[in-house]
Amino acid sequence: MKRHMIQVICSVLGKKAGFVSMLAACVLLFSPSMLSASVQDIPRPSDPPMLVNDYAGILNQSAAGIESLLRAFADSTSNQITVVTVPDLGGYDPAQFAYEIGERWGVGNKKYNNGIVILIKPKNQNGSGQAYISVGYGLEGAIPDAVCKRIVDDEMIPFFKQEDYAGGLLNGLKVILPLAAGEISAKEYMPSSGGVIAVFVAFILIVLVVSLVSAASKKGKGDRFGGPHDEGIGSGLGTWWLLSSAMNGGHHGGSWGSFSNGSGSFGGFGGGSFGGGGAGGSW
Amino acid sequence: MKKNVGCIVTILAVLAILAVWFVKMYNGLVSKEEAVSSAWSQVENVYQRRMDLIPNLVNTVKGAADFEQSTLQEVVAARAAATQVKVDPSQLSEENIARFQQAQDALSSSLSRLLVSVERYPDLKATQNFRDLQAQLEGTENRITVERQKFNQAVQTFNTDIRRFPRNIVANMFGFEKKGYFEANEGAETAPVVDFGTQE
Repeated sequence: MKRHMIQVICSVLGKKAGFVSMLAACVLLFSPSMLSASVQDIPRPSDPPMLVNDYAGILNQSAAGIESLLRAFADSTSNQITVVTVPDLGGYDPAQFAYEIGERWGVGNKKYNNGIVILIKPKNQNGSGQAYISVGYGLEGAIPDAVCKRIVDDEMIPFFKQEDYAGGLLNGLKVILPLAAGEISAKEYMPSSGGVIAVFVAFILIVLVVSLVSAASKKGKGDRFGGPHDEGIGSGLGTWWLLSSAMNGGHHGGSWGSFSNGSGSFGGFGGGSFGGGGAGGSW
Repeated sequence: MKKNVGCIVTILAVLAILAVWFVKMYNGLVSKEEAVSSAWSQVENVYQRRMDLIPNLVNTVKGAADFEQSTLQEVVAARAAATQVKVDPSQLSEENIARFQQAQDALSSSLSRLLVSVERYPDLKATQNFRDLQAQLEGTENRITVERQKFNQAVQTFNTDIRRFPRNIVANMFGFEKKGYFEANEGAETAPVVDFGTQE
């Protein structure tokens, strides 16, 4: 009798398991087709994920510095800002392209949806230059569309017109970072360090700008510098180097251009969601 | 007697498993329907956002000298008509969605006619106020596209679920009904430009 009962239960359970796997198959079959559009045109996040994805190769050696800046910003405020440069939009509208990156990569924290995608398509043989700032749901209040439009038009494009992509990007970030930091106050996310963030961000920005300027002025003498021994602490680049080494857990690479490759991922994108907010411009 | 007890226990066990299974299916449908409702409220939010921008836009444009009144009146009328069409989240039938979409699309087309005629007023176009408004309107249109797409995805998941065996039994028993989609607007999709001249 008992055995019979077990058999019945097992057969019912077996059916249930079959049903579950059938459902799983359905999910697998249907979910990609719903997102389809044309997935291959939107770049995938690099592996390990990086905040600066210079697929168009226009940021040169500044990419590493901006990566460190954005990582420090993400660590201190939890807002994830990713920069993506592409040589071609593959027929997409820049707004849609930037939105798809944000939504598919999951830029920002899942709970706060506090991601920002800055998309830059340089002016090249594929057409005019396009820049777009796409803002996650959680930051729409802090950075409204009209503000995005002004940042792109007034802060970034004047530099982009002169092919100074890193300069324009930094000039835009100078406005975006403090704005983004205001929405989810660090208090909500990390109760201990309230007002320090703004000062910290300002400090990082100053150091970064100084170091980039000094890097540019040293360009004639060569880009490489061997390590902390070659540079005085007083030099902007040396200070930045120490700061970034500290932030990267004491990692020491060979040159300015390579340390970000060695420092691994920033912990990955957080699954944030986007609603189509933001604005852009062209030149 | 002992045999009877065994039988009853078996039947009870089977019934219990079936009941758990049933409840799970039902709850699954409920949460998917809830996902559709919340996607709908997002759709309404973004359309409302556009409605809220229009008075500001109309006032800004009105200020421009000799702006044609008919275009403006058309927008105001289309807005008023679209305000009338509200769809309750529990009544997301195909007809209701189609009615909602029709009213909003009429507003979209009168808005785009307004923006086209603004092109003839470079002084107006250059003002910071208008540039801000234009950025807000464009952002709102992008949000509308996104939320409609998300709504359609939620509806697709739900509609597929209620038709799939064995959930369709539960769906029929508890009156879960198929929900409507947003149709792609004619000419509103951003089709990539194809240059046939360079294909050879």
